[in-house]
Amino acid sequence: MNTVFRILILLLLSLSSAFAQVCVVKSYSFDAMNKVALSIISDLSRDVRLMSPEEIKFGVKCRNFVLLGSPAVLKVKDIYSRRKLYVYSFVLFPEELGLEKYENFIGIRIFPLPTRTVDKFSELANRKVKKVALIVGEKTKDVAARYVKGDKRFKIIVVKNDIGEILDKLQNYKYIYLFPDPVVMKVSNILKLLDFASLREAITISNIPETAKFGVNFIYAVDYEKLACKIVDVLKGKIKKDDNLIPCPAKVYVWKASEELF
Amino acid sequence: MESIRRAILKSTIIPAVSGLFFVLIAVTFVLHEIESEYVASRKEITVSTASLIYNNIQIFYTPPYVKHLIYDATKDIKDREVVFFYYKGRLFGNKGAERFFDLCKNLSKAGVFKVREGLLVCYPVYTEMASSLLAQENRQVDAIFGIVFNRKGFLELRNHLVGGIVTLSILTGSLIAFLLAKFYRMLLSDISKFSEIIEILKANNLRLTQSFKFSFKEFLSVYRLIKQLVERIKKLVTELEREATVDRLTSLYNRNFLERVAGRLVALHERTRKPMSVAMLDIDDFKVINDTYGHRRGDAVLKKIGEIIRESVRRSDLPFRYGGEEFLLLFPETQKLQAANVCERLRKRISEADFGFDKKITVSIGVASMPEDTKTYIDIEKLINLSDERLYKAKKLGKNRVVYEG
Repeated sequence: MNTVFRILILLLLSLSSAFAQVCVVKSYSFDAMNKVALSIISDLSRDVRLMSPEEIKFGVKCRNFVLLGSPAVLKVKDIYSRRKLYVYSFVLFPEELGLEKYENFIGIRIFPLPTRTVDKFSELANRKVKKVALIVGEKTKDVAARYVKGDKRFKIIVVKNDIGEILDKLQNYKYIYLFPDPVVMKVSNILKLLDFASLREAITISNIPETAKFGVNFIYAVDYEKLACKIVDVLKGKIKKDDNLIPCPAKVYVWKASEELF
Repeated sequence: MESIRRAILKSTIIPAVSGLFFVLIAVTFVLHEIESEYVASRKEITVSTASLIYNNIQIFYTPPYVKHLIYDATKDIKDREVVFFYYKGRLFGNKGAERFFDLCKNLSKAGVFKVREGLLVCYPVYTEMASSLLAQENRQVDAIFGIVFNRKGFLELRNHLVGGIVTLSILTGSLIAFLLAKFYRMLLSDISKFSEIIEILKANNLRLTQSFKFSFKEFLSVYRLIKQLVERIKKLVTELEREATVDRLTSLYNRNFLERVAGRLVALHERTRKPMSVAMLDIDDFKVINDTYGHRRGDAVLKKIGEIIRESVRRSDLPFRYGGEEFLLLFPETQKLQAANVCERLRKRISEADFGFDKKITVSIGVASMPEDTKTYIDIEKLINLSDERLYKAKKLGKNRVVYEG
């Protein structure tokens, strides 16, 4: 009898330890993502399990999920359950993941959209921005167009591969917005573009904090500390959602007029 | 129980085998480390060269420029055999590059292959992005760079190092073996000296006929101790022998010694046909001295008379304490009259000596000689008896005299 009792207790203990309240699924390992994951874990303080997308499989014992990066979101779609909550971030273009039918997926954007960014710039620089060149790659031109739909300030300029191809088109622009696109964000392209912009005294605007080291004039990007808090708040139901995509908490990382840069 | 030589041999073999084992391990470890360092250094060269070429062509790209860059960036790499660079669907490189490119084309990270020509290091170059997230989401190989290094230089370096280690180990081992052999030789030499010392002591009745030198201080101490002990034993033996032959009170020979030498002396005289005399001396009224002044004073008288006897007789004469207050004098090769003269001189000296009493101490002496008195050579006992008879005669005649007739 005693032995049976002990086995039951052990079984219950092992089940409770295996069944985590929240599973944090981290797709990549870079500084910002690691910090956000650690902040979430420390905020939730208990019943949290950190895992990689490869560990997600049917029958995984998690009540709710925090998904960091597209691979985690794509993988978790396979084991979707209506009874669970999925909060995701670090996804550049959530619209492309086809999550519309999954009502329990709540996303927090990883960068402020172009309109919000330029508004912030206008407010901070006290300038009225009339025309902004939005540099975008072939792959992301549609999503970029969707983001700036209705905002007449933005003129989309598509770059195929080398930024040198479009520099002529930028001659008449005072403000250049660097869309988070793989072609635009190629270091070689950024260097060429910033060289061009500095010669023309054009203001470069970006949503990627890491572009600061190349000399981008204005960076309005996600505040990683607040992002972790926001994810936790969504998990705890503290944020009322109208939409399944929530804007990211953001802050100004850099604001330097072009003449101050070099 | 085993011999020291065997024990030393055993205790040397174990460290020697262990040493050899450790040298082998060290060589293996060094080989492994050299190989790792070599591979790591070639990887670094490949990565930095690839980055240099790739970054340059990101700014300006034309195929001739790529060729120039490859040549320029790799011309100082002495051990390169083949270099190739794959970019935008085109493979740049020297002859045979296709074969090596095939090995590298599916790699997602730097890889190393051992090929017939040497070491092939491949490095897939990823598009460098300004954003970590974008870099991760759009991670794709943009170029592949590879270098085949010939291993000639490496093998030379490795052989030099291993050769150096082996040579150093052999030299060190030889030096240790030489020093150990010298040490063991010294040790065994010292130990064998003790065996020799024991043999000499046994053969020469505890006499060390030669001195020994030792290599170790401790053995020298033991040797000195043995020498001291032997000397002490010899001294004790001498004392014992002396106790067996000399009377402690008078320092004259004792009766025991008389019995040992007398027979031989007579035999010698009989063979050489030479005369031999005996005198028996007795202190007059010695009992009165003992009774009056005590035995201690009596002993003092005996001691002093012993001294006078030793001083008065010739060096060739043998004086004995015969018993109580009786003394016996043996005069080898001496005729009776000569012996009587010595005895007379002795008697006179004693009677004139001051013994610290108010009265004189005198002695009576009986002298006998052979063959003068005995016609032939007889037993010493008989000659002593004859001298004893004459001593009594001297006592009867009034003491303090020498009697040699009758």
